[in-house]
Amino acid sequence: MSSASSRAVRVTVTVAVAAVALVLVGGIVGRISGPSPVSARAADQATTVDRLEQSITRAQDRLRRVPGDWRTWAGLGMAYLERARVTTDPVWYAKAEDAVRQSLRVHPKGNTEGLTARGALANARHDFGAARTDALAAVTSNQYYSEAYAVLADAETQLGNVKAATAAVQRLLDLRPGLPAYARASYDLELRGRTDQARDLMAQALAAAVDRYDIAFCRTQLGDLAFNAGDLARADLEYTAGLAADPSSITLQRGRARVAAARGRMDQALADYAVITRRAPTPSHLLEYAELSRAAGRDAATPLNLAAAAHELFRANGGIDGLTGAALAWATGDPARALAEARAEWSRRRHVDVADTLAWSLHLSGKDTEALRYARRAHSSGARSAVYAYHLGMIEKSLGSVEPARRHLREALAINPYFSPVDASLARQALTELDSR
Amino acid sequence: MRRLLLALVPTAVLAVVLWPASPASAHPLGNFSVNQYVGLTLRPDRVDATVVVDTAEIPTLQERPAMDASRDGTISPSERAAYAGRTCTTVASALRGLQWTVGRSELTLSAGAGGLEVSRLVCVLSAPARLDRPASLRVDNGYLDDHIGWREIVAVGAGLRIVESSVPARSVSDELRAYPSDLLSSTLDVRSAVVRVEPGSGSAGSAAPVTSGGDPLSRWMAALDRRFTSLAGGTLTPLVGLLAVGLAIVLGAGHAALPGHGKTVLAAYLAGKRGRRRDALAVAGTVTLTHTGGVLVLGLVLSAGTAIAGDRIIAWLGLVSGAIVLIVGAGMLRGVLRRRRLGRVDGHSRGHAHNGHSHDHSHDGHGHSHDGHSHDGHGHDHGHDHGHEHHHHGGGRLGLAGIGLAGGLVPSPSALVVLLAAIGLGRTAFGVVLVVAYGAGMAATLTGAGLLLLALQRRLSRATARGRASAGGRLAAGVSRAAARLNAATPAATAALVLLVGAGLAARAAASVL
Amino acid sequence: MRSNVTPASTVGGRRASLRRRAALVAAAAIAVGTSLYGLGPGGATASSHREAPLIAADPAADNTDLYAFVSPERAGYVTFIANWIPFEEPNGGPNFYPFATDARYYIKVDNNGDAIEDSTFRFTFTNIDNRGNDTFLYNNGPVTSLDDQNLLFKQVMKVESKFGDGPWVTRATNAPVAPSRVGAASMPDYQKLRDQSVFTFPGGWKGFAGQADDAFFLDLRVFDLLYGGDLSEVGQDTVAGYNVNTIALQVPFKDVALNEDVKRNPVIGVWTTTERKRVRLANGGGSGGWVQVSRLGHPLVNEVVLPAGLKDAFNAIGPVKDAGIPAVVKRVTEPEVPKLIEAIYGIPAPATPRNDLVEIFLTGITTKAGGPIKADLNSQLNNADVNPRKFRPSEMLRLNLSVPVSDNPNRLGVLAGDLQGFPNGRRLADDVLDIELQALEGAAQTGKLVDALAAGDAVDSNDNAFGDKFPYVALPNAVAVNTVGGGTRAGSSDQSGSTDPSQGPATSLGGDSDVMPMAMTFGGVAAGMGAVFLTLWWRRRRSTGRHAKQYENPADLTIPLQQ
Repeated sequence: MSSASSRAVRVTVTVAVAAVALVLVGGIVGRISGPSPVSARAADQATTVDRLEQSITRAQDRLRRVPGDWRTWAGLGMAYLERARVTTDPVWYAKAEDAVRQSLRVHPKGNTEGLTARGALANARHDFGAARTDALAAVTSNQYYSEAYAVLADAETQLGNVKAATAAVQRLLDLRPGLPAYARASYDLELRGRTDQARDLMAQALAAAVDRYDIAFCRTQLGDLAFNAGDLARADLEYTAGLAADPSSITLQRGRARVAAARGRMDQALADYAVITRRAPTPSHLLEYAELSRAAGRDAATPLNLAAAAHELFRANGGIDGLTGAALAWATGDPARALAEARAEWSRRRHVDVADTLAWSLHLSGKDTEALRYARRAHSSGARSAVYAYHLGMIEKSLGSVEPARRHLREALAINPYFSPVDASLARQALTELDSR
Repeated sequence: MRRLLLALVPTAVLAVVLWPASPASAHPLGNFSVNQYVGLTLRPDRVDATVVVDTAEIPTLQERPAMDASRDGTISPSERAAYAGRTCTTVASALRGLQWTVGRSELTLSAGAGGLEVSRLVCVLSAPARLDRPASLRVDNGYLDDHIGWREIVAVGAGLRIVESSVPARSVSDELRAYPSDLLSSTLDVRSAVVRVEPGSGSAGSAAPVTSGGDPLSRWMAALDRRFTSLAGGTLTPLVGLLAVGLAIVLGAGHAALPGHGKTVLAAYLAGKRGRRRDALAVAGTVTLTHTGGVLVLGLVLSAGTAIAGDRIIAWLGLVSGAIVLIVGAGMLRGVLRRRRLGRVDGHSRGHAHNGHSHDHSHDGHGHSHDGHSHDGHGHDHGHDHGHEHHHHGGGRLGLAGIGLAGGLVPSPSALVVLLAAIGLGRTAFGVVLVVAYGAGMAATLTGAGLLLLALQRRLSRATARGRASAGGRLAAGVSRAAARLNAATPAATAALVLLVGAGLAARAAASVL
Repeated sequence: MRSNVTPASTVGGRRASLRRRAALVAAAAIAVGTSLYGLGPGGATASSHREAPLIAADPAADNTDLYAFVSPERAGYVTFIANWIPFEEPNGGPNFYPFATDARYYIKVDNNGDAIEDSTFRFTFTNIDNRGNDTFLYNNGPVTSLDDQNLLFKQVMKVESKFGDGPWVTRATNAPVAPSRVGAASMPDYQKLRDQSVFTFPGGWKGFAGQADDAFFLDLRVFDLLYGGDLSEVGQDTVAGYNVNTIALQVPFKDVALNEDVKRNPVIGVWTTTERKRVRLANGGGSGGWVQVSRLGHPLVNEVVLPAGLKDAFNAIGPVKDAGIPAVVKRVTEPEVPKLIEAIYGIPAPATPRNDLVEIFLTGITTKAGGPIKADLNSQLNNADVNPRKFRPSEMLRLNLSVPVSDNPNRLGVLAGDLQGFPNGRRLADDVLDIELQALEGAAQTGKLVDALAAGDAVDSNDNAFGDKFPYVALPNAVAVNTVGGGTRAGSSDQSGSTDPSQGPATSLGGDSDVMPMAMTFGGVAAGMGAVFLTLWWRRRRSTGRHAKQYENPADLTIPLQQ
């Protein structure tokens, strides 16, 4: 009995294990690329144009039929990335990454579209060095491919390579004048302080916008440009017009909330921010909410804790964002941590915002001499920023340079008297103090 | 046994590691999302809704102040219950279209990413509705409209027929437990459902074996099913064809592994009859043949466009199979009783005969039968097999056939769907090949299951024999006594079990037929 | 009795080695498993840097097709039809598909072969937008004419022309543009709106701009060849049911022919482009000229001839630069598609260099360029007044205006002996995909069609019938493509439509004729299985029946136990 039955047992068990293993393997295979789930459309779905949705659906259908189409995989990755930007829903980043990887897997060499999409993902991840590498490789393989220049422009801008960024944007403008080009050109000009021209270009971008998300983006930028120049009425107009096109846009709602806060309608602003942070609880939104709460004399601890939790999650997922980390540390009163974050970010990239953040972190840690260097660097870049002027002014005040401090603090309030719910009044106080000396 | 372990370890580890959960964070759809599932069950007099709200880390954290009413830093069960009740009321009012009342509400908190918690809220709602005549129903889900997240609605009918529905009948996310992570699907964002119903019975939802259970195997099967259907309908290259056939085998194996196809009955039958390997093979083979034949015939009938709805046929088949099982069970019971009456002798019933009681064991009888066991060793088995086969040949073969027929009579919907899809796309031959491969997979699993069962049975009986022989203590004696009692009781018990199962099958099928 | 117990000494050793192996296997499984996970952050987006839109789709500037043919019903006039904005979904509100107002649309004609335009026609558009800030709706009531108050948004077109080095001359201003077809409720009589937007202007010119049915018909799945497809799935008109924006122009021969003399110089080359303003950052964002963003001559050049990598370059340059880009020329002389077809169908690709394709695409079919196709059909070299030394090969659609209008147009054009057809110009009904496939396989050179590709993409005509009067294109479709029942016929451009049944998308569902043989198959299989089962069962029964007889006596059952 034993040999026959033990053999039988072995056979049985082997069969069973093989069956289980096959099921698992089959399940994995089935999991990786199965058909789409049923998507039910309501009978009266609004007929507003959503080109992004259309292009995503079209790409998905095509890829089901022709899974070897690496170009469409890359395009799908880019579309998912746009979706992520528009909805602030992080789940789309993972999908975008998978699609891009698939594209490069199918066609590893000379895959301009795939390289560009991978670069765009790197930008979203704040890995600007990797984005730059990928974008340069893409333009090498096809010097007429406009999207690659857009990715390159973004990467160079964030790395702080001003000349290279401008060259990339110009090439983009020459190849494909359109919303992406105009938007980046506008930002380029804004960074150099030509705010009027930046506004004109963004208006041109708006004229080229058809998709409601693009309209929302342009209106946000126009609104922010107006707000940063202290023009509340204009900012309000732009945000409202944008919300008429895309009521769900978080950036527009945030703009409107900031306008309300600037006008003194704190309750309204806080309510708006409560809605925003429920819908998109990113660390930066929560930090702004906390700052606003503090300015209104309300409890800022809850949003701060949430901001810290959200930032932790972001880092747990592999994200790197020293600017938000530093801002969080400022708000929670941890100057040492802020300084560490700012220095780390500076070592990664030399963008003007980082210089300003580093300057302020140094100032909060008491290292004003070093702070002055960075604050001057930020201020002299040409960008008309109330925050840079304010930081420079406060550092100079702390160092005892009364005249420059007065000048720069006045400049900050002249550029935008509402530049921060808390800091604006601090600037005014400091100015009064200086004036009384 | 060791080799078994070695073989099982990698698959077990792989299974755990490759579980369909999101890679970096515990919450499958990102840390901000609030995912919602609404499962509607439409009945003639009311609509029941199961609403599941799956909240990610950050929104859960944001809700903590509302949950922690006592502000003591912990959320007690009563606080959870209170919060669940309140939120379900809000959900009920946000579910537009009917007047809902909250039945059950439940909130569970579990660990998520970054040391934070995620929450799962289940609300069972009910609303009166007059659906006993042809009607159209629309439900809109407006709960937390502005939050990002997966939104899904599912509608099945119970006691009426769904003519047309804008939402599917099965959840693709298994009620928010496992989100499909395929690259070519967008997140579901279904916020309203429009369903047309009419009176009738045997709706698609109830008769089909619903695999939306919590167990992972069912979920894998669901994913495989979808993949399979797409393969059958997609481009047909040789590689795809081979893959489809392979998947068909795997599907068949998997479906045989799921509850159904008379495995309980098979197990009981084999246990009761002291079957041998050939019996197991025979039953498995019969089930498979019947099943394959059944699918093919049914596929032919359905695709030739008869007026009979597929689900009704399945319901009737269920009834027939239940009846067959009942008959077989009755036959088994009758055999057992008759043996006892006539004092037939085989290795186990000798004990019965000596006592002459309906009690299966006394100490003497126990010892007696065990002596018989240990004495025989291998011989016992052989002789026993012989005895079985010869003794039960008439009733045994018919019983086996009956079990096989019953088990295979209800065709798997997935096999049927694949066949019909293949026919619909002009790939009839391919569809037949797939169904046969499906049957082969089923046969493999059932055979394996039966053999496994037999082997376990033998080990059990050998173990009890050894336990006695190794001069063990009272514990060993007690165990062996219990085992012997079990052994002796099994024929009658299993006959009863078979009867019960048959009755259950028949009753369930009858319920959906009538 | 054989024992299962193994000697103790080997048990321990075997157990240990088994345990090690188990551990190794487990570790490997974990490694495999985790490496399959996606890495990287899916977490929060920090908005500390601006994220601008990336995808630079510019459908309003996207050329889709160009047609050029001698007007069949108006002798002495040539018609150009140029389309933009592909895949317009009917009922695509609320913004619909206006022409871009900040772009310039061109039709360019080169009649002396130097790849520089000699007659240029420019179209620019202006919005008349009465919607105000509170509505996005196109109309607020039924629109019965182009002047109807209910039509809140419409466009007008300016037509300018330039001949040689002469100045730009405005030919028409505020020409009405046919609106996007909103639907039957809003536009109950679209034919009337179409008729109102066809205008005649001085010189006998006729013009039209507006939405129309996409006249192209092909199964784009053919081009999945490049991605591993295999030409197995054809027969569905990919663009059926969609609309495009059309600009149509009808001008007398003399306005496009070299020296205005059609008899001596009958051949013209045509292409269409779109331009947008160039922005100069150094100028502070001011304007600095115009940049070409799209270009089209022959259809499907970007799919059939050039790989997509050159498509971007092609869009950016004018024809005069084509010959100077070696990659472009190489793509014509050593095309990719015949190699793919050879791999799938086994049809040998014709030997390279493909000078016959150079003739078709880059010079025009002529005996004067030393090409292999010995016919004089449509090259500017055949114009009497052309200086052959100034001739430059370039990609453009070449039309011989002196070829008479054919009485029996054949969709396969020149390859089927219909000399008025593609590649001699392009008529609406020419099946350019099939023609180009055949040409790629050498049919133009050998003069014989390749049989294996005879079906081509199995889409031989448009879903909607063409009209027989200017502007010839069918009315735009009114039913959305991506809903049930979409893509239906829209009617021809004038009510007296011509022949051709509509070709709906050919879906390949099994027909009813399959049921009978299928039924027989199933019946046979089921019966066979039943028979097998019964036989097995019956044989078992017989074989055990014999044994059973021996053991009918209960006492006999003791016999096996004593073995």
